[in-house]
Amino acid sequence: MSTTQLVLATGITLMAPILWAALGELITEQSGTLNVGIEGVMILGAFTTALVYQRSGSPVLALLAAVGSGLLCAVMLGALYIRRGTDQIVTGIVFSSAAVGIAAVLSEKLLSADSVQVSSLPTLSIPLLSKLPWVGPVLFEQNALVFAALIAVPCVWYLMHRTWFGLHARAAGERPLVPETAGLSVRGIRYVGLALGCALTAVGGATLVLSVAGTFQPGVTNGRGFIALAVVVLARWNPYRAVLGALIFGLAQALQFQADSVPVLADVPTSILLMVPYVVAVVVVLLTHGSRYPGAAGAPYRPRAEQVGF
Amino acid sequence: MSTTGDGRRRSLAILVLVAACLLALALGACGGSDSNDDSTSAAGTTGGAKTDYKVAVLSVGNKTDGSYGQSLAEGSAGAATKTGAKVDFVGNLNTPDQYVSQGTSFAQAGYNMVLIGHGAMGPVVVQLAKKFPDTTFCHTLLPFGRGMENPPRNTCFFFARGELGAFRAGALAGLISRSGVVGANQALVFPALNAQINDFALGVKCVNPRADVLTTITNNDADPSPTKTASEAQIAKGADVLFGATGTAMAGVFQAANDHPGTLAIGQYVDAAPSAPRAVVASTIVNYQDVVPYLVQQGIDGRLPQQQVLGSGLPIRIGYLKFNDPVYAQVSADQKAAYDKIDAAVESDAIKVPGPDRVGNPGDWRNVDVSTIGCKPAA
Amino acid sequence: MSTATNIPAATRFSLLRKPAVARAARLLLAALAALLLVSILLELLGADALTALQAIVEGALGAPFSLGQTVMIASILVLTGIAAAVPFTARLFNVGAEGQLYAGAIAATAVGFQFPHLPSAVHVPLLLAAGIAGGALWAAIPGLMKAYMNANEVIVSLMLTFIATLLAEYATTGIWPSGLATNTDPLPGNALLPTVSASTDITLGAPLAVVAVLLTWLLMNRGTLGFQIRATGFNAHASELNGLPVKRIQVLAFTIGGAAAGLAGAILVAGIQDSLIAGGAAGFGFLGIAVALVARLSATWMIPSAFLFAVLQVGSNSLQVKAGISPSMGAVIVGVFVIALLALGAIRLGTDGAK
Repeated sequence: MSTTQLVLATGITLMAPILWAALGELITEQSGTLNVGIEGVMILGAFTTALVYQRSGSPVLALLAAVGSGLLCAVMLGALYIRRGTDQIVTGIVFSSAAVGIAAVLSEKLLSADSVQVSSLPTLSIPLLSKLPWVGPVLFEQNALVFAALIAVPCVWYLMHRTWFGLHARAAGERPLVPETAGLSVRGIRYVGLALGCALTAVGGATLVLSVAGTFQPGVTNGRGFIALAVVVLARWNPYRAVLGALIFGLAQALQFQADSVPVLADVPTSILLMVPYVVAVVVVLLTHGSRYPGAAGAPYRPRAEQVGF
Repeated sequence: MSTTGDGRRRSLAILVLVAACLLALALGACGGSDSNDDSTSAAGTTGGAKTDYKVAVLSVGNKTDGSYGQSLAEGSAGAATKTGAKVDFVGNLNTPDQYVSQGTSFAQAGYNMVLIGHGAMGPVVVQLAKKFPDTTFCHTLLPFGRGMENPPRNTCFFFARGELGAFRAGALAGLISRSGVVGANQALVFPALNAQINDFALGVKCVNPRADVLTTITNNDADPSPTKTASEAQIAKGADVLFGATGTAMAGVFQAANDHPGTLAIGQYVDAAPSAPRAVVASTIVNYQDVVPYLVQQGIDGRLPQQQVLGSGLPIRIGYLKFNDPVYAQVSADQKAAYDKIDAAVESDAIKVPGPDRVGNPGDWRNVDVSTIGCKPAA
Repeated sequence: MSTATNIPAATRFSLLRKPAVARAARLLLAALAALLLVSILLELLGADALTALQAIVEGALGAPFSLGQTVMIASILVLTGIAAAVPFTARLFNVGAEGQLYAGAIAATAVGFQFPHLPSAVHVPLLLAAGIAGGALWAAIPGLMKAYMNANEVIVSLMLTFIATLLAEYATTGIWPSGLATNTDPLPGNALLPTVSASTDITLGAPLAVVAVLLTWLLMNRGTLGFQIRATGFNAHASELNGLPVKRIQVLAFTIGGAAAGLAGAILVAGIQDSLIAGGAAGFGFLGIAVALVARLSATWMIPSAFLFAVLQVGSNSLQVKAGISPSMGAVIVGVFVIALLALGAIRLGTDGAK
């Protein structure tokens, strides 16, 4: 493969976990909750995947367990964000750091040194397409979870824009009074949005373990949750644009590993090279200025009934 | 915002719910072991002579990272068994404030020795040593640079010549590579680590001057994903033997080799064979774990030097390869013989492996002619 | 179990009608409940809760040197708290205090190494000024972009944090390498902040943090700018219609916040760690957001809030030696404690979230 092909193929692999988390966060934010705790959801998803994989040897079980851990996180976070109406930013930040702590403690206790390795899921080659010249090996020989992330993109778009749930979820995130007037529970809708979001984010964690890193270490999420938060804003809550946003980070990271083959980059220190995606993100934000959170995102909702007698 | 009786009941219910969830997670923590004895502590292990010497080993990695942290953790357990001292290992420490607070808490608890396994904590070691004169603070690198000229007497600096092992790893990689391309991954940029990668490359060049050495700096020693991705990029460019000096991220190297049959990996600091039994051909610096018992014994005997270099010819024979026999069996007899010659030449100092003082910057290996360090390119 | 929520009944007592006292009482009750929760967690981990809690408190406050550590970390957190609070009051969400701290630390380090022969009385103020300027400039970027180009300040300040973290790494390996590892040599002695109390190692950084709190309080409560920042935060559109220079106020709010974080960076390198260490900021910038929000963005509450976090931060490092609990558990205990306080409504925000 040529250097360009390699950068693209690697970039797509590295994009996947960020994309999963961004898609999840997108649903959560559009339904009116700002989940800053996705870094924590992701690390717990990754840990659960490694644990179940090690104990059962089944990647499918591991993936399901990761989804379960995501839902458990959603129950906890929902009780706080939605039910108790705690500040979503503090709760999220504190939850993330606590989750990283739990994952570090549990991985030392429960994952054994010799079997901390997980066999990565095999690379899937799409018949015919993978034989295409040049793009074949770049696009169509990837890990199953990478393909799944790309398939999830139109699904999330359809969910949020063409279904009953999506319509009301976006209303709950933009003008919560509307669904309430229609006799729906704003909190209920937001719970579902949070649960879906946490589940997808946890799958992002599973992708790290089953594909990108192939193993679990407490540092495996490496700020990807926070990057996903940025990707959602860059994408202006559009799943298709989220692919582009996640790809920027994936590609820029992939470029680092090929710097030796690119004469201009060969002498640039790695720490400077690694700034590229963040600089690009700032530039993109400038170009797409005016990106605005959903009207009611981040604000806990109190049903009218509870507001009586305030 | 007002609160009502209803709100109180609700808040209680939520509190219970949140508590239950958190406790469910926490319970998992106890799932593995049924006692409260933290398994990172080797305390209570008896053996050797009775002593009330107490040691804390603080490290950047953890006991399952397949690298430096695991080596220190196993070394801590070994030190407890061999010397009878109480040895606590604490892993996953990353920031200066954590080392200061941990060091303080152990010093105040009357620990005799605190060993800090994180290269950037030289200033912390000196700071702690000044505050707690009754505890000896050891650091994993030699003192160097301003402010380290006259460290307090209760410091101990040791440097294990990991580059000797890296050189041998390079020689093996150069010999067994079929493609003539080998890859080396480096996490952070600092002289001791730069020297390991440089000497790995020199080892390759020593046995195969035409070989290509691909080196990558990932700038991350905690997340295995860049390491795995970098290794895969090297494989795509033809590398069939991989090496890494990447700390906790080391698993990424094994994983990449494991996923690409035909690629071999050389581990570091611990015997990596269990991590990837089919891909790991050898591991280097595996006896680094003997450093902890060695230092603890020196401490107990009251003969701990303030500075020491551990390498070949010393009681701690750093820098050998431990082969993974099932994989190494596939290496031809000629190659094995060639490797043994290099091994002996390094041991006898016929080949002078340059240290961080000479090849301390990334890429310095390109400026060293292997014939000047004693390599005689094979006919 | 009596929780914070029955406080309204307690307001019968006249003293408790004073809002500050009522708030303190509610905080105290909720803190007790949160402690109970943490104790249950510790017991489940197999540790004796009392021993563990005692270990945290003793570890943070029990000896002069640990107390000094706690005070110094609290000073950093006070400043990163201000860095979050001032922009937040203008409804600008600055999540980049960590990056602004690094920017200040790098600028301070530059001054420290650049002028090795200046007398301390000149060098230290110069170094502090460089730190403040570095942080302020770094924060001005998202401020300007937000005010004049309507770029999302959350993303810009977060991205700039990643960039500054990498810059600090580069500084320790590429600009001022110690030849040892990812840390610089110690700064020249004349650049270091003077020690205020020798037994505790408390340096000038701690009184400086208190001064910063006073200045912030004056700025926010006594000055025109503070009023303007509040007005902008309350309703930027209406403020603009009323003739307030909203864009300039937004940039200033960000810059003031960044200046505080930059000062924290200067204190970190010249008053605590004595050198620039990669990773030295240790998340204090992010923790500052929690400190600020727990303090309800109030400058005066910033000190107890920061102190609480500092006690937990430093004290949890004693869990391993005294209770056999991994220090990673420290973050979990902090998390459970803060989340319990939040869930019990003891710490609640006047604002309704970031927009």
